[in-house]
Amino acid sequence: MSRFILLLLSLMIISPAQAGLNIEQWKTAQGARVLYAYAPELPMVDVRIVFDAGSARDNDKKGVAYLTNTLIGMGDTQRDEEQFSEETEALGVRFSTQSLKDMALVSMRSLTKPSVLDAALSLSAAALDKPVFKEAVLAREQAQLLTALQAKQQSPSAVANELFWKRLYGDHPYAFPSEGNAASVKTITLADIKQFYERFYTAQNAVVAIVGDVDRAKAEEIATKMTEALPTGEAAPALPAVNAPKEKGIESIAFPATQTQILIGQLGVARDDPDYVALYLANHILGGSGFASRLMEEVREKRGLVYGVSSNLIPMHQLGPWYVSLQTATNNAKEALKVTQETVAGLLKSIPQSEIDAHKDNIIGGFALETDSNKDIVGYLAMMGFYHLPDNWLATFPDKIRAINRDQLIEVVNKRLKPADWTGIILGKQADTNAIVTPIAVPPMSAGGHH
Amino acid sequence: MLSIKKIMVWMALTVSLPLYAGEVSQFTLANGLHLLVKEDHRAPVVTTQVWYKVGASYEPDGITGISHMLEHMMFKGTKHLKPGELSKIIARLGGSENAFTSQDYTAYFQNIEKSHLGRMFELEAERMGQLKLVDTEFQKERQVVLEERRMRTEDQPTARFQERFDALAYDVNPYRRPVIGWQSDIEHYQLSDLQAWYDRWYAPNNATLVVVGDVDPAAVYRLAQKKLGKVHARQLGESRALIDLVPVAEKRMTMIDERAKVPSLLMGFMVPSWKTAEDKTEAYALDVLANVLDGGNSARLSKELVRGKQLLSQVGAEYDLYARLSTQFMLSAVPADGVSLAQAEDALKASIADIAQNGVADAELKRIIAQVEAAKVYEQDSMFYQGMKLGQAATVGIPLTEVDAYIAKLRAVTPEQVQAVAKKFLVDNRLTVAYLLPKAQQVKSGVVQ
Repeated sequence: MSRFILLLLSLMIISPAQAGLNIEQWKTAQGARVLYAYAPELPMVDVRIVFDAGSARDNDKKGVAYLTNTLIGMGDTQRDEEQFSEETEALGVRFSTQSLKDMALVSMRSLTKPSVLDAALSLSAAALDKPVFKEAVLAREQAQLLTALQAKQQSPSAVANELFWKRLYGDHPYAFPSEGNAASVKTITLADIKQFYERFYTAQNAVVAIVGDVDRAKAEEIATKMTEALPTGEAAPALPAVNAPKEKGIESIAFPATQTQILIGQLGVARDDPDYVALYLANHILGGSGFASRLMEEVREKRGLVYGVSSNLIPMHQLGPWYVSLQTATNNAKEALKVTQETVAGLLKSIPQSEIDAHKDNIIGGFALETDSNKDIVGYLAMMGFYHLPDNWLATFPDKIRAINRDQLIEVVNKRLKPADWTGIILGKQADTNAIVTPIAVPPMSAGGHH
Repeated sequence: MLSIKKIMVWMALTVSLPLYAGEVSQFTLANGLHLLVKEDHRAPVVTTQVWYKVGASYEPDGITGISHMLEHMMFKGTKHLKPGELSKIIARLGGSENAFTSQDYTAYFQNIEKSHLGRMFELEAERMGQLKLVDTEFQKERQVVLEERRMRTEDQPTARFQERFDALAYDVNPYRRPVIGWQSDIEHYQLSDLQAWYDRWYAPNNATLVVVGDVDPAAVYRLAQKKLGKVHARQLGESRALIDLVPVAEKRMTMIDERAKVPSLLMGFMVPSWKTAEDKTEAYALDVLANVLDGGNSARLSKELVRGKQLLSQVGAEYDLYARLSTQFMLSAVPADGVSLAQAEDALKASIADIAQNGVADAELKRIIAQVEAAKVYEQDSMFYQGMKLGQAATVGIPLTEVDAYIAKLRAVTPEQVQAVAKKFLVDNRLTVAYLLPKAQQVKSGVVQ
């Protein structure tokens, strides 16, 4: 039991490097981009390969990206899946895969003593570069995924989350859950998997992040070994731009649970958005910083209406979402929604200098914590490479936060925060199911106003 | 335990010689506060954690969850700090903070840039000695905790299932109570219950302060003396021997849940932890056994039942070596589509019987050793986790020398010992079996009329 669940969405938590973190970048002969940081303190290395092959690349067969990613490590030209698991685990190597909306990840963590690392590399490289997709394995993983999709339906927060993304994104690829849905997963064939792999798991579509006790020469060897057998291929094309949601207001959906889930929001930012840093700060104030945030203060601390409430600004290839999520007892839903909407709109009314200063202090002062582990650093490197951010992006983040003045912040908030356009869902046993709650409109604040 | 305590007193009288392996420095302040410091100079940051020897397993019936409720109130004002002020101070300094409660402990932590360590000690001293419990804050926070319970338990079919499983499996043993508390208990706490709980357990002589980070242990000791040394030691309530009954018969339950969408199986065998084992090698053998069954993708249960026979969709085995009290050796599974819970249960029992009859292979033990050796390196990537391990051991009463010897102890376990503990402990009279059935499937399979 924790006082507040720590938010671990790596896409969301942004802040920078400790002094001395030196990031080097290069390309392999096949065109995979590599980001590397030397971390000699522990005799281990983290290697993460990211492909632009998340579920946003699903075609009409939703879930094909997820299943393709899942099958990496389940058989290749040199070993079947049992041999692969046995050999990696006998070395203490950790090999894992993960499929998100933008990214498909393959991660490997190993000790750096040569007897282990060299074997770990050849095992991982074969698994990634020379997979053999088998009917029987696909069928089993499909069956497991169908069970997992069914289990997801018993989690009110998972159901609400899925419905919210659907409502915000309509027909855009971001609208669909990365694991697909039961109807589509059943139709996926081995040919679909092979085709998806061949198109998207290519060197030109890959970013390699390496952090650990390996020198530059060894890092080059790692990057090459891990990707040299991939076809050169080409980078994935740009995703379609996101249109404003068709459905405004809040849809109420019946669900048997003691709490009502509320998710409301709008389109937020893309990773390369010039307003990103200012919006990061704005979101930090609104609900992105736990107990320091306005939403936590208003909804939990003052009124005891929730255990958790947060606002989330998720930068993606295309416009990611900016939304508030909370859950509260059925009888509190109306009040919690009202307070939340007022708090969101309140950001347009006033942001005192003292509040800005406090949040800047928190972000800048907490800078060192963001990169105090190899795990954090490899995540940042992979993200920076994937979204084509400059080498100094991480190191200069505190300076960029520091540089935002109040007028700039207010200008960006006025330009980008549109509570009247917010859309969302309220899911639970509340009596007025199918009602649409009208959003509240607020006039923009003036930068020179008094507070 | 006693000899270690003597050493710690001796340590406090001398100065700051690391107690073992040159890794962790131990001190005891005059007021009884136990201090553990581990250096990690990779980044200019520090994790500081205060661990109290109190948790749900210390609670009497009627006020279950009071440790957790008190944990929430520890942010709600002290003699010199307004409600919420402590969190605001830490946020302003760039720190992150939180707290957690379990069956065996309650702990508070901050992760922060190292120059603020003294300020963190001041804040912890303040709430260790001068908490101010205010009824209006308490009434609001009670609602927050009820929301937390709804979120974590009431609206999660598998969590409600686990809660009822524990109540059945632990029987009269203290772990039968949920950490967050039963809802009606949460609804009926009095402010005076919280005050009494605080007075009884929150004292420097019932706490361990753990610091991991870019620090000098001697300097941390001096800083702790200065900032936390003034908190008065208190006479602690008498610790009584706890019930540790071995069950006498197999127990079973079937829970029908209209909100569950997939069936689920829990099987637990009451077993000793390291603390309660008369023969400590048995505890290590149980730990190895859990890893033979579920220490990775190549371990037996995944290999045989998920991929091989494809009877299960998900499976897990778990054993808490460092529990304060006797614990459940847990097996959990979600059957594959079309497989009944009874078939899933039979399959798990067959896997256990195989080990009891035929033992385990050397290669399996070698794989486990390779994994824990690598894990020992990997875990050093997280200061917070390193602190967790120290705090947990100190609070539960596991000597750090024992924790440090973990790999050596596992290495010493033989295939015969693994087989022997499977035979001795994974037996029917120690077993609790629980089925979770979605309502639709219950109707379909006609389990209940």
